[in-house]
Amino acid sequence: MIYRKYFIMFSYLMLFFILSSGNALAHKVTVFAWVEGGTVLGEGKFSGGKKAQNAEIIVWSLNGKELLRTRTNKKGEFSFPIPARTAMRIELTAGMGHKAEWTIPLEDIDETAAAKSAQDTGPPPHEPAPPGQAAQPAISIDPVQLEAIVEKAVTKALNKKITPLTKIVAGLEQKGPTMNEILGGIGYIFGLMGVAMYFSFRKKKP
Amino acid sequence: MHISDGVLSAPILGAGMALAAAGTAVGLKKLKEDKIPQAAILSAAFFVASLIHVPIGPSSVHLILNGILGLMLGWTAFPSILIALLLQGVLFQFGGITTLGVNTVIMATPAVACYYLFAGVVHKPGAISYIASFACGFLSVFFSSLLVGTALMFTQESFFEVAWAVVIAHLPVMFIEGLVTIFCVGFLKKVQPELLPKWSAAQHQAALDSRTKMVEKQV
Repeated sequence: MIYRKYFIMFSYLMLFFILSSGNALAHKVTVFAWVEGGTVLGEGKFSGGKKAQNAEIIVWSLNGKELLRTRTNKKGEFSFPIPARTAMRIELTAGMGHKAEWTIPLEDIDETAAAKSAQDTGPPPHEPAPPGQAAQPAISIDPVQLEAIVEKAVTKALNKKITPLTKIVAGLEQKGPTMNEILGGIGYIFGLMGVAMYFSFRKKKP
Repeated sequence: MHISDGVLSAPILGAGMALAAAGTAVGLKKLKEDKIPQAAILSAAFFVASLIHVPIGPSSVHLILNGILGLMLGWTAFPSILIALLLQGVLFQFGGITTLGVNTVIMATPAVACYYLFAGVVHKPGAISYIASFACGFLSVFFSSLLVGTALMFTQESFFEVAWAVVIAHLPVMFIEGLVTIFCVGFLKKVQPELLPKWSAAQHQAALDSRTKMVEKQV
């Protein structure tokens, strides 16, 4: 009976430790980020697909200036508005020596910034139609306005289509080791054993 | 318990590499020819063990096995662990290449410590052997946790905070490794006792003698 009591206590203790252990046991952490509209979205994951919860995110410009700090949420995701028109290095620190980086190039930010500025200009002020065209029907749309609308729509549609893809790519990055790699590693070790035995054998032979 | 690239400062990385190199040199010097296959198999076991995630609850833990490796290899644990960690770094990007030295020291030093602490004790009969085996598996992971804390102490993180966090996180691993080590030592004692350290020919002879005596008595 006494053993049973100890066993139950021990189980609870184990359960507590396991529940409180969090992210510490994972091997490798990766961070992945992309730009969508005016915000930077990203997520941090450990190998095996576990989310990096409440990990610190520091955003650096490429010349080493700290732009902002944030933390990942429960899902391992983070987002922040583009802090400056510069290439960014996003650094994720998950504690206990786990760290990862992701760089967003200037082009990505420029592209969205351009799209955004096009959106921001919005419908240009209605210009009085030239007298010669006054007879035309009112449906005619100003090309600048049209471009802005089309661009906005296309960006929206593309984002919808691309976001799942970016997530898939991010998932691929965080894939655990494959059977090939594992067997390869074991093969290397046995190859080294062969080399060591070869040399020790040659040493012994006069 | 792999520290990634870019976390530690250059002096720590250098010190880790120097220590790992020294340990590896000692280990290679002590590596007798007949121990080479054993070292390779244990190195492969260490390489694979950390890939075996044991899913318990929402989290998953992975084995480390540096206790039993150190117990069986002594100083040769250094080259064995170095190779296994190098391959883990190159093939899976676990840990890192610049931190290879530090990670080797973190894993191999407790292994060697466990060898000196327990190599003479595991032969003792009965409960003492079980306790020593469990302690060997348990303490190797515990010491490794402390070393992680020590290595990270020189970054902004404080020693007690990190060491405490790592120890707590690895408590399940310590228990599992303790049990695994009991099983391994018990198995080896039955099947192939000369694989265990400090198992001298004299002991072997003594065991044989006692067995023959028992047989004679029965006859």
